[in-house]
Amino acid sequence: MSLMEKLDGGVSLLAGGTDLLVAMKDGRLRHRTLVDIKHISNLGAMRPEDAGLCLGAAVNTRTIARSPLVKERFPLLSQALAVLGSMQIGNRATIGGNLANASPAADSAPALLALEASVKLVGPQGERLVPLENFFSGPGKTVLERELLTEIHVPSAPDQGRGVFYKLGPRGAPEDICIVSVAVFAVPDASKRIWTDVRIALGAVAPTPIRARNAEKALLGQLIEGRTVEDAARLAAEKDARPISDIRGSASYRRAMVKILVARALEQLSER
Amino acid sequence: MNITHNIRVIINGQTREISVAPNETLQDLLRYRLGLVGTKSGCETGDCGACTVIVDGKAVNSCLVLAVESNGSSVTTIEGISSNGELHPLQQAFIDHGAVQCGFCTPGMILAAKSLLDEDPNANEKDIRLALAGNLCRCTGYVSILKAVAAVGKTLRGGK
Amino acid sequence: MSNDHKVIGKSIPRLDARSKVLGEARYADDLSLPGMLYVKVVRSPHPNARIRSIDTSRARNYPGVISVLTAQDIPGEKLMGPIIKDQPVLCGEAVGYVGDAVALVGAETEQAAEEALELIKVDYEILAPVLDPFKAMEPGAPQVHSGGNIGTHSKVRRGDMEAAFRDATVVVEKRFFYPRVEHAYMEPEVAVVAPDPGGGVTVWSSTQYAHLDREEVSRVLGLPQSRVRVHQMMTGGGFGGKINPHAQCLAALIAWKAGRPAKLRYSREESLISSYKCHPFVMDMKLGANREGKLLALEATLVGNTGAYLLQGKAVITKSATHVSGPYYIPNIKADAYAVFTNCVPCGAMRGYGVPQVTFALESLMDELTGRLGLDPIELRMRNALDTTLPNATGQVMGASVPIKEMLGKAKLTVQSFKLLLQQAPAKGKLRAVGVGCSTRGIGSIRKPSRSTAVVSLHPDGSATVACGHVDLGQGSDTMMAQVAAEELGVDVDRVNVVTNDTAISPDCESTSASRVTYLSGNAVRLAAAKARRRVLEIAAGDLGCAPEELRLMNGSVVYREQGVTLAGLFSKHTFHSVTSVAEFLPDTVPPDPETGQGRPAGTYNFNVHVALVEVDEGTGQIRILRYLALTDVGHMINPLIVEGQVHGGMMMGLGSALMEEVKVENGVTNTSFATYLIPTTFDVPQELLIGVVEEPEPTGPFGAKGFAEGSLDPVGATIANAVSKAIGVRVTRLPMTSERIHELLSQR
Repeated sequence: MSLMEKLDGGVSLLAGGTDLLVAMKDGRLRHRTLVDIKHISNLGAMRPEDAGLCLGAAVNTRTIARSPLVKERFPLLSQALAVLGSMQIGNRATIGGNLANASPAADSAPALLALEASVKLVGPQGERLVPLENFFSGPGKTVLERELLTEIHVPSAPDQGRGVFYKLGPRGAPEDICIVSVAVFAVPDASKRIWTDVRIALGAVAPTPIRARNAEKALLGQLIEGRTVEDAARLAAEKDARPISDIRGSASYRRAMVKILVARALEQLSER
Repeated sequence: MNITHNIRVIINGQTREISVAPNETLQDLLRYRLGLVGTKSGCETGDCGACTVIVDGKAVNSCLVLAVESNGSSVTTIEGISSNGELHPLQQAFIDHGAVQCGFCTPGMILAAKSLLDEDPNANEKDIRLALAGNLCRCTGYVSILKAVAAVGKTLRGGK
Repeated sequence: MSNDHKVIGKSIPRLDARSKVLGEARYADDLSLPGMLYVKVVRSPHPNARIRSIDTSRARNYPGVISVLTAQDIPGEKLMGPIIKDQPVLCGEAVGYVGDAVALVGAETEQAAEEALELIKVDYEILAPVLDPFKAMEPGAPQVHSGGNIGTHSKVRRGDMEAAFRDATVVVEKRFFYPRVEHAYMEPEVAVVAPDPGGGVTVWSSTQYAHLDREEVSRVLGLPQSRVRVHQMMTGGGFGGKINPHAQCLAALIAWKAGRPAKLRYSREESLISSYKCHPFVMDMKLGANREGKLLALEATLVGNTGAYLLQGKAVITKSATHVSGPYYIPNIKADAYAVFTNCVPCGAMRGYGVPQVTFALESLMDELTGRLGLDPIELRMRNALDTTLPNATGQVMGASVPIKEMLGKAKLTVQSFKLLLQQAPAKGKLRAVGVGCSTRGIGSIRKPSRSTAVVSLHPDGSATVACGHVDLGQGSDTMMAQVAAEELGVDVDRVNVVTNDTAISPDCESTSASRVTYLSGNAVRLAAAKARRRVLEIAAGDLGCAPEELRLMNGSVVYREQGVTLAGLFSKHTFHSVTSVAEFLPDTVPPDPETGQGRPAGTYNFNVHVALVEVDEGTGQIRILRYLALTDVGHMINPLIVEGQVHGGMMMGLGSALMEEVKVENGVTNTSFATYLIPTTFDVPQELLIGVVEEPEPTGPFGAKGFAEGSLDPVGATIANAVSKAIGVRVTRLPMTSERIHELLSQR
């Protein structure tokens, strides 16, 4: 912290480097001082926390994806991180870096949003715990104010909860930047006919990764059946998603895919 | 301002003490300063895998690792996996299965495959595809590469 | 065909495989010479502009900078190109596309060169660009070149179109779009050039045509070709994209002016933006058939966007026109193919060279016909397939090795077995179908025949050296030549040294392209080896008092009945220390007539039939290839393992254009990395990719072999598009079939 204070502007934090070095080579970042944060204690540690998880910001995404602990407690997260990038990228990319880079298409974000994760930010004024949903403020922008993202807390989820992650990419290869990504985590009641809790998160269809709150509201306490699923998917596409057109896809295609993928995810979860 | 960092890194089993520039990548260090040109440069942005080396047991794109970050690490390049002219099983399998054409993706591909099989000797076809997805090849269409790696996996597991 | 060859037909591991897996093979960027300068290029950010002035003063004074050059510093010719020399080495007066080279910096470190680049100020007068070829053809369009925007026009004229279409029961007509494709060789362009003390230069490059490197470098420096020596380094892929030696000329300029070695290596971004691509085509095709499905007439207008410079545009357009009717007999043909200038990135040779484009259009229309006629896709093709007696679009009757009907028969079996899989209930929301595509291609250069020359030296210990000018880019041609020579000379392959990478030693055979190497240079090598063998046997026969036919050459000895005389022994009695023979091979061809396209342009033709079983996600539009069969016709396999590798590679490259590859130009190329220019990965390999090789010998080929390197790519787009069109019930007319495009088509149903 004190080092960063001393250097003030012109400092970039180096974790996995998979985004940073590309930006440097592109000329988007110049003459900066890099502070390597990988070896700060605890940033590279991953541990269970009650029935949840505490991920150090500098843990590699592939390490998380392959961890038996994560596969057991949060298969949704493991599934998402397995396709965050190639093996080589995943062996360097960090969970904190992926979040702090704040791409609207960040592959770790939808799953973590659906799991209602929070991030711990440490700065000159002290520490704060911020729900991930409030962490992103725009494309490539976060609420970090001269702070370091040190930990990601994933709270325990009800036993009956199940999640699914879809990443729609141009090739289906893990290194693809997604056109649309969808993570859904849903908790059915004892009868399995009503969802007591549904979290739907979308990537690459808004200035930041988002929760599809309109869609979720339409599902809570409702019977899990075709009609409700369709309505919710439509709301996610029309009310929650605010996609743009870019080299990977048009806004209208993205909207259409949100509808299809959210519906599929809900259907898949309702069948289990 | 000409800052350099002194690093100590084990490359192919040999400990080296080197002075590196802060913006020098591991790829630059290996290829242009240490003359280990087996590691190739295909894109320099982490998209093609031609620069893959193994650092502390993990396959990484050396173009996205700063030399200074490899301080204290053990690095294996393609030059380091055969011993005394005897080929590593993957190298032999690539030859036998016709998995080498122009050869440019080959060092990175072999190292990526090696790191996978070292981690997981039971890797199945799906695992192999996933692990090698970050290594682009334009010549072979991947079929013979996947076969070669699967064959070595099978041998390691004691199969024929 | 006799199968008692010792070496031909054997899957010998390629000769350079070991050096490649060890990381010992040396590519041009692996080279470092003392005092070497690093070259960087200033490139135009505008698609169309006049250059008012270039201020290099600040760059010249930058620490570490040794040389800064512009067009006025070029001592020799200022224009270059593989066929038509219309591309400025460095632009002096105007730039024609984003990426056009304008100035050079040579510095002692790469970093200094990069930093100095930014100090060079070019004052551009920006002009309105024209990027669309149809707009370029309109009157009043910005003129890319003074001669107008139509760079070339190739024609095929045969028969009576009006009458034929009148007689046709069914006529189908559509417009098709094939994308602009990037070669995406894994090794970007690199050249190292050093001045020689004797006055001249040496070049080490990544190249498909070392002798063109020599020619262009000598022209640009104003040197005789005899003073330029080029070493082709191990080359990491070419696919047609490393024929034009632009990097070589730029590096040579710095080396020459500075009097020091100079290396230019393109960054991947630089390569993606500025290197030439495969022509995107817009094709209007009309096909007419009678009630029995016999094709009567084909009319086609093909528009290729050749970008700012013609390069091989003329040849690509001629190839596309002369291949417009594919592997079928169509009595009446009218084709007009154009290469149109625009301010886009230039387009030139790429694996396929116009044939994948026309194949996509024609094969799609064939499937349209099957729908209208109620005929099975294989049956329709069978009824119209060429044979040894029927003329193709150029009027050429092939006379031999035309196994397309046999291949269609085999494909039919595969179609049936794939269709059985269709009967299994597909997953929910998935549409499955089987599609077929086929193609043919003339081997070698169509517009102007090219001659191969080979030199074979037989040494006293029985080993041999083969010198030939077609280079190995990874396709295994050196190994093929070694096998051919070894078979003729009766030695093991590892006793044959093939030298193709040195212009001082290897004779010029024109570029390694057009699938020509096995047929042209394989023949030349075989002829030269046979000549050397005959010479030796004649000498020995003289000594032994018998006829040369009674002798055999085996493992370094001449064998007569049960006795052998070693070559060393034989030579020592005569004035030879090695026997060296030269041979040439020129196919007996007639280039197509400029007005009618008729002629006899190729020595042999390669046929391909592919079958695909695809699955389309009805919701997302994503396509998966479940099963794929690539049947190819090679005459005779010289090395089965290498054949297989080529077919796999060609198929997957074709899959790229079919599903995901497209160079997009908005002003300049917008896909500037492999994150935005997507090529197939391990994930894209079909669940099952089957290969079939048909061997119907080509009598004029070496041991019956012919070329097939591009053939495995030609029909892929068509095959997959036919399957997808069937699956979704809408005709696909544009490649690549991105999920968004398919989704769009699905919503039109």
